[in-house]
Amino acid sequence: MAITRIFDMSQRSLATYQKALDVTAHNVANASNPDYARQKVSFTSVSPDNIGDFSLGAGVKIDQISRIKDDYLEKSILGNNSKYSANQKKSTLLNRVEGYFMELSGAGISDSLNEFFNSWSELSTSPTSLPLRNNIVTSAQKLTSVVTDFNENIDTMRNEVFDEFNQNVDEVNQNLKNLYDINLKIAESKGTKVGINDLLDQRDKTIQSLSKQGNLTVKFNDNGVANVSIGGVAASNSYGATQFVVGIKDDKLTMVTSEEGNAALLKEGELSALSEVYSKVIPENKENFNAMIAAMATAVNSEHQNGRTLSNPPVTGISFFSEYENGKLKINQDILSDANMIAASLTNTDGNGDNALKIAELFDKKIYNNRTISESYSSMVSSIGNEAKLTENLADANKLILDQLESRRSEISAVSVDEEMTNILTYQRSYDASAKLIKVADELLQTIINLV
Amino acid sequence: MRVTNLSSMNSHLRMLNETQSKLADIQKDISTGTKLHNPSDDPAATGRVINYTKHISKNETYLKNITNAASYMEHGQLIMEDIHDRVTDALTELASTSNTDTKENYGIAAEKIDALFDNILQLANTKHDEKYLFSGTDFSQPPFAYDKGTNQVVQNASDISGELRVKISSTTNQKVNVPGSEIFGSIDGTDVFNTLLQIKDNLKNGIAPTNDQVKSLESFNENMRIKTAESGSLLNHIYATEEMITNQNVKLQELMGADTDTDMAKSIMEMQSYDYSLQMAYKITSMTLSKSLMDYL
Repeated sequence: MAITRIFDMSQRSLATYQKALDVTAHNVANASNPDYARQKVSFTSVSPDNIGDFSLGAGVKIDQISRIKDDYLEKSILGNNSKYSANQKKSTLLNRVEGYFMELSGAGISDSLNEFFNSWSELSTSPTSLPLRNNIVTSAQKLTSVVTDFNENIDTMRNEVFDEFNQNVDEVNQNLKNLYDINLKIAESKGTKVGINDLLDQRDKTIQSLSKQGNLTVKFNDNGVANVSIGGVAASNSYGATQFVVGIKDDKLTMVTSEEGNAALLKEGELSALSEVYSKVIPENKENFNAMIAAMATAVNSEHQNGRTLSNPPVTGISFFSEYENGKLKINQDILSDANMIAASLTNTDGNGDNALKIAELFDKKIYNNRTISESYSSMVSSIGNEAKLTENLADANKLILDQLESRRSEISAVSVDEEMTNILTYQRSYDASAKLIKVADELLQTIINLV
Repeated sequence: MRVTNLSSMNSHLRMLNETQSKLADIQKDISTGTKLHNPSDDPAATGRVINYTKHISKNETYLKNITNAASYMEHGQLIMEDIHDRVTDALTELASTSNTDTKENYGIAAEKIDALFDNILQLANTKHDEKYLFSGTDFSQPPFAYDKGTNQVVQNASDISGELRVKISSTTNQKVNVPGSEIFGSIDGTDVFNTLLQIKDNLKNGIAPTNDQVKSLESFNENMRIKTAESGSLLNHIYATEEMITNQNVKLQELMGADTDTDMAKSIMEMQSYDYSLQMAYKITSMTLSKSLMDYL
């Protein structure tokens, strides 16, 4: 048994603990990196040398540098991230929609409706009064303005939602390309054990970004390559990355593969929220709102046509609103030019205000879906408010679960500086001891040399 | 439980964010005075507030209508009382004339009746806010006019029987005028104006007023008294409605306030509590987050 064996063992030990210190340094450097999973060095003894009847230990070596991650926890985080992103995005968008009604601000649509119908009630007190007639024109102009604004705002928002959907699809495409590149590197690196853990971190970070956009199915092969599909469409693996474009499927905004045209069935993630708001929430609310305003305009016109104007000569059969098209409610130009064209009278005398009263009373008549205009409008606003609140509550609940899962992940995978400092001390002492052993072996060898 | 730097940092951040978010919400409630900023804050309350606002706004319009109607009616009442007084004066004059038998006195009485006639005609054509009080709903011209050619009073307006109705509550379209036809009847020669004209002319010619003529004036005045009383009763009803609507609005404002107004005392207490929590969180974070084993090695 040669003394040089001690040198070999010590040298291996020094290299082992130096490598362990490298890993610890890497951990400490990434202590604040949220996408980093701590790495752990596992040691094992080197296969012993059999000398005669004895089996002599040959020192220590690194068995593996493992990445500490709970796969089940990661899967749960992905699923919850998709749900949270969908509800959070939808909640933000619904808050914008409800904001366009401008209720509770004193300048909302209900205030304009109130003013408009009340101005007719006021005119009935003095049907020949020009100031009161002008008051009707002014309140009608305010009403048409808020109706037009609502439609323009909601249309602009829908266009912006489309643009955001488009940008998110670009982001998905970029992430899929990145994932493909990472997958390739992982496949190439497997077996060499060089930097594989950091590649896996990058892979997980990219998948996490994708989960924010849509509902994913993720499977890993033995090499660690991720096979990802979005909304049921194969999206990325080690053979390539699918590229998506914006498309419409079954009247719903979605993303389709650029080559085959396969549509992703988006159920979660920001893309699903954007799609739902673009394809369902905005069109339904706009349609409902416009149908209600159209019913109001038709009812007002119907009564107004029965009345007699104050003009000279007086006329009947005049419509108050000339048209309601493309979300623009327009007042009869004749009335805008001369408020005496307002038909307040139902008799041959100018001072009769019965028609003004009839129009004022339309506000309390069930003229749309067996409800009054006010009831319909209130129900519409409450309904949007309810949906926004429900979505916000769901997003809060998702966030709570996601926070807990991420907290659990931090407990398992994040770096504890205290722990790493303890490891540094341990490895340093082991390194010192190995160095000391070399010194002892050197002295032993010196003693033998001096004997010669 | 394994405590890592990241989990510790995230935990502190979450705690700070939550407290700051609650604090911001309360500060918003306090600074705006309302706890209802968006329909999603309380959808049911939003529905109620839209409903309350509609009713309050309608009630405010009813109150404006009532103010206009009441001034119109009050003016009408004053004029009706004036006309009643003038006709009473005429009757008094006629009564004193019947006690005399000299033609000179008849002439003086004729002049007095003529002056009273002018007075009554002028009163019958009184306007309020560009509306003739007794022309029904035809405000295009004075309802009555003296035609010199025929020496008769004629009805100018096409129809003086129109009722002016004003909405003073959600269920009431109140008649607020006394149509000329109800107090002056048909202007057919037997009306108060032409009766006075005939009496005046007769007196000028030394003819005493007939019993029928006097009875006609007495009957007119009795009708005027009844109509004035009816108008007064309507006015009382309008004032009672005004009071009811004013009270309704106060109640509606209270109800709306319960849904929208910030409870200042409660919010300020909560704000202080969250502010205290936030300061504690800052203190704890600054004390613990910077510590590690490195500080002791």
